[in-house]
Amino acid sequence: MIRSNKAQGSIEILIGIFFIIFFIYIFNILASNTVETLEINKIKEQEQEIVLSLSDFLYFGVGVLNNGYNIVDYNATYKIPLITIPSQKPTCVVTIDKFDISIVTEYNNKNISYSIANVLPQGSYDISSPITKTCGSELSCVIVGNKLGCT
Amino acid sequence: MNLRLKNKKGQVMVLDVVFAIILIILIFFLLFRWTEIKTYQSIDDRQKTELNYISKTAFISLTENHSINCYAFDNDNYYLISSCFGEDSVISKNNLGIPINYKCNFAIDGFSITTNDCNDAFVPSTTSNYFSIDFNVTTNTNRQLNKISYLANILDKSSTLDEHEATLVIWK
Repeated sequence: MIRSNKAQGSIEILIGIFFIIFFIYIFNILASNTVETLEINKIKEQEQEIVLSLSDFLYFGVGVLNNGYNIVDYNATYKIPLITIPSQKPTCVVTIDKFDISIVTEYNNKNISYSIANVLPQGSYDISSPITKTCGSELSCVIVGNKLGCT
Repeated sequence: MNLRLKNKKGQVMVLDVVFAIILIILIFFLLFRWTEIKTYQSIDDRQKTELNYISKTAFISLTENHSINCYAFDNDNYYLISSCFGEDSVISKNNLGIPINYKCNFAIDGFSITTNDCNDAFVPSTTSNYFSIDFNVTTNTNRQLNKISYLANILDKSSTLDEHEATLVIWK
């Protein structure tokens, strides 16, 4: 009778341990997914800030060009900010072409992207091939002739 | 008697574990709900930020644009007259910097511009987020103004340019 009780107790403890491990496992997955979702949101917010400020920078250059302020020399540089989240510093790449200004960030083997249509008036800039820059690098723009050119 | 006491202890322990598990599950549900709200808020904020940025850029492009607004010039200088429109002003999404996936409506009360592509039908009741601005503008038949008469108009304040109210609305 006592032996049977002991055996039952051991099985209960085993089941208890199993459930605890199972719960920790499941909740750990759920918690990391939650953190990942929040971090992706943070990345997207920073991506948007970078793309919009970059678009502003280019638009200002085109505005200077279009309004004919008799500029002798225009040379502007924009340093693309880094994206930072608490757990890591992901790498990101900005691409400017005729149609879009886009950014792609690599985070946990996933590509998080944000893009906005290139709102610069056509013919006001010279982007014969897409410009690709990594975050942390600099984009320099000069006015050559009657067009804005960036490298 | 001793056995019954042990049994009761066991029951109490099992109940403790069950309550603890229920509490943990509830906390996680709360956490997920909070995450969902944060995610939704973040998406909404991003949409609003983008709309504000595009609208701000469009408004500046509309009021200070060498291919839209009036101008006066002489041999050496070019005078752009902000917020002044002619019937020959050319308004398009491209020269306002509005992406094709956005819609816009620009109208001047009591004045019409021949080429105005910013004329999408705007229904406030069916549009959740939109940017709208009313502002005063001056108008003239032609965008090109005579510099001497323009300067005279400024100096003696007897402008021949008409004043109207304009409305710009942008939405997605």
